Amino acid sequence: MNRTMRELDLVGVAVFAGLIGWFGAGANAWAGPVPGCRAQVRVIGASMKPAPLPKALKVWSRKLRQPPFSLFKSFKLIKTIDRDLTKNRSVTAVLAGPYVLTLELLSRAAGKRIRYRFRLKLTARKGKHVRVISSSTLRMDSGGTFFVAGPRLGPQTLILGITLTERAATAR
Amino acid sequence: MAHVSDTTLMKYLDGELSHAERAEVERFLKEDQSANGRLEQFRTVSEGVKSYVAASAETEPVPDLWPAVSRAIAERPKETWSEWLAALFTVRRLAVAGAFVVVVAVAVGLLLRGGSGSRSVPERARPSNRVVLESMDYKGAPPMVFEIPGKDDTGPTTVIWLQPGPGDATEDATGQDGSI
Repeated sequence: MNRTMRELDLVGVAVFAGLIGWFGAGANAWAGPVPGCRAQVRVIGASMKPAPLPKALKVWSRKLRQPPFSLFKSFKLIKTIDRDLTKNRSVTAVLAGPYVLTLELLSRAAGKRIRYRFRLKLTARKGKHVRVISSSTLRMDSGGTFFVAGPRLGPQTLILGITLTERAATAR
Repeated sequence: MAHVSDTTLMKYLDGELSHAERAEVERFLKEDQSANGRLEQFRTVSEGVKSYVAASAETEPVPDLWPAVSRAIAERPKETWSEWLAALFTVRRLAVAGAFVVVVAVAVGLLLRGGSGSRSVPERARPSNRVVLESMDYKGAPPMVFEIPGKDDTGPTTVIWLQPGPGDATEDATGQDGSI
């Protein structure tokens, strides 16, 4: 009899925990989407060997012809990385070679234009050793694009074109 | 001289200016201290990249592609006059058809837009490409911040140039995932 009662108690506790979890999940869903944005990182390799500009980079052809990029004779789009950023949660992306980019959205301000405050960290892996090249806190408009350049990538120089946009919108 | 653009300063560094232009830039540099600073930045970046490229060119193996290319040229079948003429007419016909499609597409596009021509995006919709750098921790030499002037109202574009530290010149080209 005691044993059956104990079993019934356990079932009751399990059902109660399940209900709490179910309502908790429902409440979280009602809270709406977590604030965030979308980051698009174009990883470019710049080199001194002349070559035509790839189609994917034509949109930036005028910028890539001006200093400091006019140093180089050709640009190659190595890859495009898309990541969803959630506030106060860092997201990493393997760029090229040993380089890894970490982005963290710190805040979002909606005024005349939407602006993001975010942290950007560039690291280089060498086996188990991770070296921080730079870590910075930045502010920029949603949809704007800026560049980070300089790290060596074999005979090329790494250039990152970074754009942050609202999640529904697409990067320019 | 009112102003010397960054492009002109780069050309000055690379020795691409005429004698008269060089003299003019040098006169400007004597007057403008900020231009001297910009020139020094460009010199640092330029020399860094050039020395690195020269060092990597010495170690990079250059594959000899010519034997394979010459063999492919020799093995290519010879085109006869009739084949050449047939190909020419096919290309002309394709070109005429392509031009027709373009004309129709442009006409339909103009009709759909109500013939109002190009509409500019409202100013508030255009984001700035300028970044505000609140703080930066770095290894090696301090980073340089450039601004590429913008033609439209998006303004200048920020470029953060990370200068390599002493051990960075030998950074591996391939990562753990083998990607470049």
